[in-house]
Amino acid sequence: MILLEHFRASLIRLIRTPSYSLVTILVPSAIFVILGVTFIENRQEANFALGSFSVFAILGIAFFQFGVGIAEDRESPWEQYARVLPVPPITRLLTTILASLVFVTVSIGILIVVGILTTDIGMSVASWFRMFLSVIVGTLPLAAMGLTIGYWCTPKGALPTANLLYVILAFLGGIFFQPSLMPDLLNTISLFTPVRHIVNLTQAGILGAPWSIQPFLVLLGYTIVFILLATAGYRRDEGRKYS
Amino acid sequence: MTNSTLRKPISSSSSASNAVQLENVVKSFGTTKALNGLTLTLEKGEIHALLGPNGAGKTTAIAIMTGLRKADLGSVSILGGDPGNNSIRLRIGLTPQESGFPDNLRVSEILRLVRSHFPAPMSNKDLFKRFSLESIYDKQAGSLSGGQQRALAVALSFAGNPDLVFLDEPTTGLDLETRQKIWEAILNYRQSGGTVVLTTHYLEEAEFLATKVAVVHQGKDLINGTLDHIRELIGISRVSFRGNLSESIEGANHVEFKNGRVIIMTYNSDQVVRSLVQRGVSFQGLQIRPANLEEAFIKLIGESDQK
Repeated sequence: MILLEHFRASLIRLIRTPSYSLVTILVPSAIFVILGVTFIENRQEANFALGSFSVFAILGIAFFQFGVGIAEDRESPWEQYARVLPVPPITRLLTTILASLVFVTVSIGILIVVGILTTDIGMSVASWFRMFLSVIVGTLPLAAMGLTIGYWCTPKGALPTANLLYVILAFLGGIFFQPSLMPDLLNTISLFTPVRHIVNLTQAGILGAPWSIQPFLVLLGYTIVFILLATAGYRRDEGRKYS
Repeated sequence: MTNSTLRKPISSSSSASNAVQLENVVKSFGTTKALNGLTLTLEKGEIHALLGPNGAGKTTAIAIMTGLRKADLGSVSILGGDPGNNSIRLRIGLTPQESGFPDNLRVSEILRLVRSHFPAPMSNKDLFKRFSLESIYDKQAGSLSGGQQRALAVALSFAGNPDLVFLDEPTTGLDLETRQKIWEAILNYRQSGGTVVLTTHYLEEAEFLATKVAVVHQGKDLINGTLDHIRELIGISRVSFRGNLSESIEGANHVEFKNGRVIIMTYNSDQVVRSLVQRGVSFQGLQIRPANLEEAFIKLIGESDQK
């Protein structure tokens, strides 16, 4: 199957470039240790921080590992060749999202180990399960956003764009402080970001509070919109948009 | 199946009598007009050489023909369809002008990935034999020499057993042995019914391979002819010497003055030299050599501009 072959190849590529991948994978754990050990005072804060930093991990991998990586590769001779292969763009986009999931899993796995070693993390099995589910669901829209950066930004423009969005979304999405502490206006803006909804899902899961359907719909909406945008960007390189 | 001789018949749409049909294709990049109304018909079953000076639009033409770029204006039909469609892409192969692969994928992994796109790809064994890839099978692409990368890039364009292959300067930078191996593979491919569109700067390559020749200049098609055409072009010699020339010289097709030298393009260098001597032209450092492809183009372009 073509999708699995692309998936296989992109995993091999990333695994054999450890220095590049490791930085992106380890950043959330590193910041968790620095911030977490300083500010976390009890188990619930530790659990919440784990959820938030998991979302932070997705953001970094989606934007830097994949978004910036794609933009830098786009004009390469190999990419030129790959584009002439009989494979629809959507297959290549889905491959990237799948590969993101693998990296997110590794990054969060390390984060959990580091979290357990340095703080008092602990939750019920159901909460663990719901947190993982939130992360998987959350990877879809953020990976699609990364793809959009990758296929719309110039190779030079991708890194600053990704950096800017990374910081803004992490801040607005409530990764570094409790969303409940946000002033009203900020809270309203925050609810327009996909990140905030993923953070909310993880926290509800950790608390054992029920999930409503709304955040899932919002995240699904973002996923579809960004996949369409990324596909349009992919096509734009062919000049197809203007045909 | 190693189907070098058992190729599937060129099938499907009956309108697809030509491999490539471009009509008035215009493509601009910013303010640069790379193609300026290119009209080109390339028949099936031939090896077409697309020639022309640097910047003539050959690579852009290939990008349009393979669906990498979309034309701004004009119509493009490849094997009777749009090269952006998967059904057409299944039947074409490409070697881009620059070769490059993911550095950390092995040759075997690249082959596996590429072959997975096609229903009846060429067997690995066949690819190795035709393109001498055995020795590099387990190497990571980043460790290949330039020549090995090029051989791989050419091999990949044939990997899917396509009906039509585009080769943008396939043998640039290759040693003689590898080049001949690739030439042989291209000729075999044509014999089994395939069509090739290639660009090249090597006169020998065009001469050895091409059954049809199209010359592109300033994004337009100048001549679209046979090998005899190019043989005639290649018959041009370049006579040059230090000195001056005011007399008209018999047999001279084109005269120019450059860096204190007189340069004469001619189909008959003997006649030119005889004429120089007869007219008592004083010349020093006389040189005669066959014109290269670029010079032949300049001559040709000069003729077409006068029309």
